[in-house]
Amino acid sequence: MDRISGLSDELLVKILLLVPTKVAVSTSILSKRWKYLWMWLPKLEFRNRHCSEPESERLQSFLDRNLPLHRAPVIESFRLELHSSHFKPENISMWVSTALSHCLRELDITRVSHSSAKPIVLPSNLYTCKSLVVLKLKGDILFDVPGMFSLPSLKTLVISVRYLSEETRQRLLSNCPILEDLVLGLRDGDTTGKLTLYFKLVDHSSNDHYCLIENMPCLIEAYLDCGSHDINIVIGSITSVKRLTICCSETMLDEGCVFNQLEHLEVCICKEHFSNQLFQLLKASSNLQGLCLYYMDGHHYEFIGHWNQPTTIPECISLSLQSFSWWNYTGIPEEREILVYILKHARHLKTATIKSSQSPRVPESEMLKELELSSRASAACQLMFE
Amino acid sequence: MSKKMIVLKSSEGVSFVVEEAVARQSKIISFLVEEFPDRELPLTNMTSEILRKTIEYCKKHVVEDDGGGDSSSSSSGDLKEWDVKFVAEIDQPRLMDLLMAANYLDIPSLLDVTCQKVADTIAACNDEKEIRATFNIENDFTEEEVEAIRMENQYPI
Repeated sequence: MDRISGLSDELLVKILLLVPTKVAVSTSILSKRWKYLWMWLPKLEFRNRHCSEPESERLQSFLDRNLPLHRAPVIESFRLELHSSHFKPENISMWVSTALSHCLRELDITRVSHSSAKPIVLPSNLYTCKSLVVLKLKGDILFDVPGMFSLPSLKTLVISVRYLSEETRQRLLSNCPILEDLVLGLRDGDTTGKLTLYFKLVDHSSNDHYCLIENMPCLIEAYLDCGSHDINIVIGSITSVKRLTICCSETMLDEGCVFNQLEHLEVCICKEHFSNQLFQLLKASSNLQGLCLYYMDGHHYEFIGHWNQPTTIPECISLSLQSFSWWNYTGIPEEREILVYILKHARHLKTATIKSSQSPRVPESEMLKELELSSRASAACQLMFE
Repeated sequence: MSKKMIVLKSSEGVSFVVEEAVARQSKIISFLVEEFPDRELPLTNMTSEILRKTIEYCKKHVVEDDGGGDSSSSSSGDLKEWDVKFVAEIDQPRLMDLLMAANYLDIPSLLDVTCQKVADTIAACNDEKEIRATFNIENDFTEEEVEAIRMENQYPI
């Protein structure tokens, strides 16, 4: 046998992965050794541009016949770019369904057709696919999530489709718990004003970089974990949120940043200057009702720096704050000072929950005693110590 | 400080003395060096020519970790360019030898470079006849079988 045909299947598939799928398929004609090799490819990409009807039909029958026989146990990526109205939506849906059954990780479909053509109705197994990490849908596709909808591994979602219902859009993010990148392409007639999403930004990269985050005037909830990056890049765009979870380093908030709608704030206490930042946020949030101090998942105690007691009491502390909780309270003076300050000035506080750290710096009995003795502005406040 | 050297022996019995750090880019050699220190390592399925080529590649790609300010380590852009030139100069049969050597010795980056070169060669062919001619692949299909596959598997881009 010739040298190349003597290579293992694994090596030949590795080589075929480096050529376009069409070329890989065409090697099936070389010899018997090569006939089925392409069917082990873990990445498949099919495109047709400016094809005649018979040509499109040939691609359609090729996929109809071969995809169900595909041998690779895992398909890492399946890409379709179809510029023709001749493909039947039902067939496309079948191919997607087949690809998904091979533990598909990336699905990328672009479909351009006449406006009168029926859109692709995606198969129901797409909406519950556990393996899918990247999903990109563009063009004449109907993206309509059914009752059962959960994409637990999805990190990248790019949707720019003809049919995307308002309800679907609302549910996108709550059902994709680890989503990192979201691009929503909106079309004429879409009501961006009603877009209400959960926005999560986790950025621990050490390099400086620029990101553009457009204003999101109807955002409801945001989660920011920005490491040492300047938080002001983002924060001005999300001032409409009702719920905010935040961990960031010492960057000061821009003056004039106002969170009028903010009702619930969670601040990670791992950074040295969290206390000063906390009070900046409190000053900017005049309607805050709930405040929680805690460690974000995976964040740990570093060191608490000196806290500059504010010259004026933040409005929300004296007027609107109703519930306050502190998880992993260690009882050191820097922490106690903040806790005592809030209890002393929060006139409408109903509950204060303190959960002691697993390695407290001060005996719990002492902590409790100090708290009981400290003055409380709200007589009705229930103090819970866990 | 003297660098630790090891000896690799080709199928013709020619010994090559190589810095250990250079040779360790092969996961297999790395393993063997730990298992059998201070011993000559026989690579009985590699000719001197291919072994020399492989060592040339590894020398270029060794990461200088002694912090000795040695300026021989190249930037990644230069390295890529060097790789392209390196495989471009090799003829078809030797490229297959080198690919198999990279696979056998488990040198992932060399395997990637050689596979890419083979893939580029395939993609550059105009039809299956040219691929067969380039790689000396014997067509063991009948005319009818070829036509049947052509009908089934050819689709437009």
